[in-house]
Amino acid sequence: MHASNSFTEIFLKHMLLGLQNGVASKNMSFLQRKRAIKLTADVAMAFAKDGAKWSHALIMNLSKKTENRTLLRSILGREYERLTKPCLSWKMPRAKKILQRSFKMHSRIKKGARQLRGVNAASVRAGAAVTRTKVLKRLVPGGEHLDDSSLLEETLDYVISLRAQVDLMHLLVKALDVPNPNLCNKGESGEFLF
Amino acid sequence: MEMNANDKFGMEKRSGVHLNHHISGVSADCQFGTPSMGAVPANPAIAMSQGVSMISSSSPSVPGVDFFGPGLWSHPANPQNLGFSNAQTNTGASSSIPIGKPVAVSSRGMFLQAIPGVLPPNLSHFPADSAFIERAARFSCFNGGNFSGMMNPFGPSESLTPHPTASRGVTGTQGHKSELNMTEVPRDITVPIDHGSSSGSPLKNQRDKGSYLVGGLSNVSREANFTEVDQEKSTELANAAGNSSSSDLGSKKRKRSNQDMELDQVQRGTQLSMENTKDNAETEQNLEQNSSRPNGKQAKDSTEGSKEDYIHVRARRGQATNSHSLAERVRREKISERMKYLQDLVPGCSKVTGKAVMLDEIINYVQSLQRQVEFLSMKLATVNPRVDCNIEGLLSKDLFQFRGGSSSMIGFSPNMIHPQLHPSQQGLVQPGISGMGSPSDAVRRAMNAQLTVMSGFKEPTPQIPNVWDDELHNVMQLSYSTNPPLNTKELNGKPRDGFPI
Repeated sequence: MHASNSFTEIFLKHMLLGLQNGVASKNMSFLQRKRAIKLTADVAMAFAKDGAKWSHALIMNLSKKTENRTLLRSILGREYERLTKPCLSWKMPRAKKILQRSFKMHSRIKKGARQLRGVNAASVRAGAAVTRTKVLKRLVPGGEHLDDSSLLEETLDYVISLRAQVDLMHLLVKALDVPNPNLCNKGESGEFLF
Repeated sequence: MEMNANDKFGMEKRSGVHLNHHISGVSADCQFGTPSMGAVPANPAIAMSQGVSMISSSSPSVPGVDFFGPGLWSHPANPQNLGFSNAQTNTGASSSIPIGKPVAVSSRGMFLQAIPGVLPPNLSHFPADSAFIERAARFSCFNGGNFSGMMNPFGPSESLTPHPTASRGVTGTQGHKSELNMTEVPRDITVPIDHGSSSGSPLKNQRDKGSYLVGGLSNVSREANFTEVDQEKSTELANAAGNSSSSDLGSKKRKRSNQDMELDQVQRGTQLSMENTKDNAETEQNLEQNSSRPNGKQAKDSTEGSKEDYIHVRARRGQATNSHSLAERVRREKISERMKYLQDLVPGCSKVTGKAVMLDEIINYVQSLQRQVEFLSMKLATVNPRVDCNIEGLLSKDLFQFRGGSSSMIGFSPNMIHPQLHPSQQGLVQPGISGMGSPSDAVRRAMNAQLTVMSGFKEPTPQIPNVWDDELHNVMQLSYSTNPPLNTKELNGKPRDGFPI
């Protein structure tokens, strides 16, 4: 699966926009620059994919830090307010979570009654899956409040977008990283690039 | 074996009694290959005597199915059925066809009467659809000749479906009956066959015990309600049954049964509608999602739900028919479907099976992608950020120049914030960027134009284009290789312009 063309276009456009505003012609330390670039890339990616939960969550997470806000604002423009507003619909998952928890307890009790816990292969397997699901929830932005199936869906979406992001950044690097030796022959490569 | 009293289904009992005479002798013989059938044989068989006799006569060569003979017949009672279903589910019998099995057992064309709901736990080895269909076919043929008289009594029993306690047993019996009646009785006989086999689909409906039996038939006709798999199975079964029966018994009965099935479906539909309102919604979803699910999986899924719910949720035998298990099954199916997608996405995960390992791979992949992003952003940071300013200029310029044909790019270019048409900086760089779908020569032209504008850089001009050309080609190749699908839009009929972005 690959990201759609429109996704990539919007992504690139906003990334360049962000780079231009946030990074270009600014005196920043290396780390700052790197962080800004990463932020730009993430925001652009999240913005390009506006239909997914993770994108919203990502933007919200990023906007929590005040230093990112200006950059975010510049990139998102009008959408900034809309996207940084906490999504009220996320209150629903809480009820779902309670239900899930109660159901899990229920099923756990049932399983426990039937077989010894702990040493059972099935329970070990189930436990492994549960811990990994928790890890995945931490990885995917906004995944904490999701149940398993939607978590997997979001992961799917997120992986596609991440792949597109990596490819795009690769391209950028390749594009911007003109081989110095070739240009250095003239002795002005540095000037060209910088 | 007058143990028919145990039968909750009055009709079945009667028929059972009728059969018992035949079965009693057979029961002992019929128990081959069914270790779990121990409990079953004890019960009087409701099934048609002929079936029993067939079973007994049929060689015990058929593994696993043999048990159907005596055990199935004698055991319409719920507890037994439950026991079986439980055993069945516990053993994880993949085959979810409670009814069809016996039919297919006799290779001689003997039709075991699928004892509804009394599938021995070792059904797992039963083949999936094809065998089931075969069995169903055989069964129907068998039924046509033998059970005409007995069919009727079973009819009313079907109406007993809403019997909560007898639900399990009913399902079994009904399925049984249905198989028998496939050709003859205008009930939902065929359905049970389907029910047994098609259990795979997530049948949610089964919260309520009612409507199970009918479900069998309804399944056949109510394709819309079942997941695709079920539908396939039901249709296959119906077809198989129809074909076989017609050849053997004549099409009349079959048609009758089909008609009856539809009637029953309607009845059942009303019964189930209340129960399955919620399930239906999910079922529909599952229909879409689970179309490709393997049969084994379906069988497994169906065991979770009630045995009797053949209409919507392929509840399996031995599973609690409460909403939780049904919902859980649906949820599990959804999750497995999504895992399949992820499997395609994450490289190198085609062989991996199991949720935990798969999750591990996914986590690793996501982490590696995130690390890659970090690394690339670091790399980009090392590149002079000022180059970015030229990117837009170049892009917009290129876009204006070359993207005339491509609507997407045209849409893109006007949006560029800074249409820097003047090479304020050394926009030498972005052959890749400017190469966004633009021909290399055009990019070069843009670059050159920018270069020429820049003062004092005449020297490198002649050489730089070469460099950029190479760079451009590299980038294009890179982008092309990385995102071939993205090139489609950008391609202006030039294969070289496969810029992914």
